[in-house]
Amino acid sequence: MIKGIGAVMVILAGGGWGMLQAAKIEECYRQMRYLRKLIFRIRSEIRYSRQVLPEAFLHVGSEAQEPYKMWLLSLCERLTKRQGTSLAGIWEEETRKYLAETGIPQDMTESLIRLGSELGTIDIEMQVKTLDLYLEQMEQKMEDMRTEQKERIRLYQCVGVTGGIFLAIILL
Amino acid sequence: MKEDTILKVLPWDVRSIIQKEKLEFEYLQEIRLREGKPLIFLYHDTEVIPGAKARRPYLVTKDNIREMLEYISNYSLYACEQEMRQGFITIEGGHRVGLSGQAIMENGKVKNLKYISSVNIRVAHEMIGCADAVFPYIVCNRLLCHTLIVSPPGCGKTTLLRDLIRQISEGNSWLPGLAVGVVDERSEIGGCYMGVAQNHLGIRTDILDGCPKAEGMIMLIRSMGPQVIAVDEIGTPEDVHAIEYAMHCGCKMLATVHAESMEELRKKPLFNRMIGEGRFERYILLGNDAHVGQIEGIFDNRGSLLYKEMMEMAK
Repeated sequence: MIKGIGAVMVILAGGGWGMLQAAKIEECYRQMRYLRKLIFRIRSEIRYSRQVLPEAFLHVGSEAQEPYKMWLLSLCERLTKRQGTSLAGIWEEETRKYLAETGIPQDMTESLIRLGSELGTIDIEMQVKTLDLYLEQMEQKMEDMRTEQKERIRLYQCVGVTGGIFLAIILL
Repeated sequence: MKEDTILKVLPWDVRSIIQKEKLEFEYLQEIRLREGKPLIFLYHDTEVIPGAKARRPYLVTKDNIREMLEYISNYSLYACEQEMRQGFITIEGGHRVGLSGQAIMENGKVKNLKYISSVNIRVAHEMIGCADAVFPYIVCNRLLCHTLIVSPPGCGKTTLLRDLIRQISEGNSWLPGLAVGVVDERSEIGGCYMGVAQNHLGIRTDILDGCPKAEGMIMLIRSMGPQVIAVDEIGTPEDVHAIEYAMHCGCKMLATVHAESMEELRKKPLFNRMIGEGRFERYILLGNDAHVGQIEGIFDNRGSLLYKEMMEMAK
C-alpha cells in the first residue's frame, strides 16, 4: 500500500517537474513579448515626441509592470543625477540588476546591454533604426521560440511523467 | 540656481575643479573646454586657467567632451539635431553651449556635427533693471516704439531685450503692462526648460520656445493676440517679412540684430531697406568699450541721436 502511494507520488513529482519546465518556457516568451512592447514604446517616444531618453524612460516606466518599472525609473533617476557614469555604463548596470531574473534568454539580455552603447546618437533616423534593428532581433528570437515552444513543452511534460514512472519502477 | 544649471552640465572632473575655485557665478562669463588643451574660463573679464600657476593646468580629455555632450543633450543628441546644425545648444537657464567639430554635410548644407572637440559655455546673465535707461527714449505718449537693438556679439543685447520684455509685460512708470509674445527660437531669452521660462519675463508674457522666428511671429499673432512681439537675432528675409506683417497687424516690435554700428547695418541690403522705409522707430546701439551693455547711442528713424551713454559716467 505504502509502496503504491510512494510510486504515485514519484510519478506525480516527475510530471510536476515537467509542467514547471514547460511553464518556464511560456513565461520566458511572455517576458520577451512584454520587453518588446516597452522598447517599441520607447521608440515611439523618441520618434514622434523627440523625447530625451530620461523622459522617455520615465513615461514608459511609470506605466510598466515590475521589474521593468523599477528598471526604467531607476535609469531615469540615475541619468538625471549625472554623476560621472556614461549612459552605456548606467544602462548595463541597471539592466543586469533588474532584468537578470526575468527569464529572458541570456543572448537577448546581452544584446539589450549592447543596445545601451547605441543610444543617444546624433541622428534621430539612426536612433530609430538602431531600435528597429533590436526589435527585429527580438522578433526573430521570438519566432524561433514559437516554433520550438510546443515541441519543448510536450517534451518536458513527457520526460517528466516517463521519468517519474521509470524512477518508480526502479524504486519498487 | 545659476550655479546648479552650469555645474550640472560639466564633466565630473571639471565640476570639482570649478567648485574648488570658489567662484561667484554672477561674474562667470564663459567656460571653454578644448580636447587636449587646458581648461579655461572667463571670470570678471579675465581669462583664468586653473592650475596654471602651479604649472599643472587641467588638460581636457576626450572622455570629458563625451561626458559633457551627454549632459548638455540629456543623453539624447538626436533631440538637439536642429540646434546642433547651428553650432550650439541652449541649456536650462538659457546658457548657450557652443560646439565645434567636423560638419556633416547634406545637399551642400550643414546637417549636423560629429567628432566634437571644443565646447564653450556662455553663461546667460539676467540683469534686472538694465533697461531702465532706455525707456525714456523708446516710449512716446505712453506708447512703445518699434525698437531694434543693434550690437556686436557679446555686448548684452539679449540681456537688454530680456529686461525690456519683463518691464513692458509687468508695466512701469513709462508704460502700462502689455501682452508680450516672445518667439524664442534658441531658448536664450526665456531659458525655457520643458516649455517653462526660467528667466523673469513678466506676468503678461507668452513664450513660444524653439520655434523658427518667422513662423512663430505669425503663430503668436493668430493665437495669442500680443500687443508687443519680441524676437532675438533677426537676419533672414523671412524674419523681415514676418516683422513687417506683425507691424501691419498693429503689434509693436522689439528685435535684436548683429552689427558693429549703424553704418554696418546699412550695408546689409535687407536692413538698409527697412531703415530707409523707417520701419523701426528707435535703434539702440550697444557696445562694450567701457562695460558690457554700454549704450553707444539711441537713434530715431531719421538717424538722429537721442541719447548716448557718457564714457566717463560708464567708467
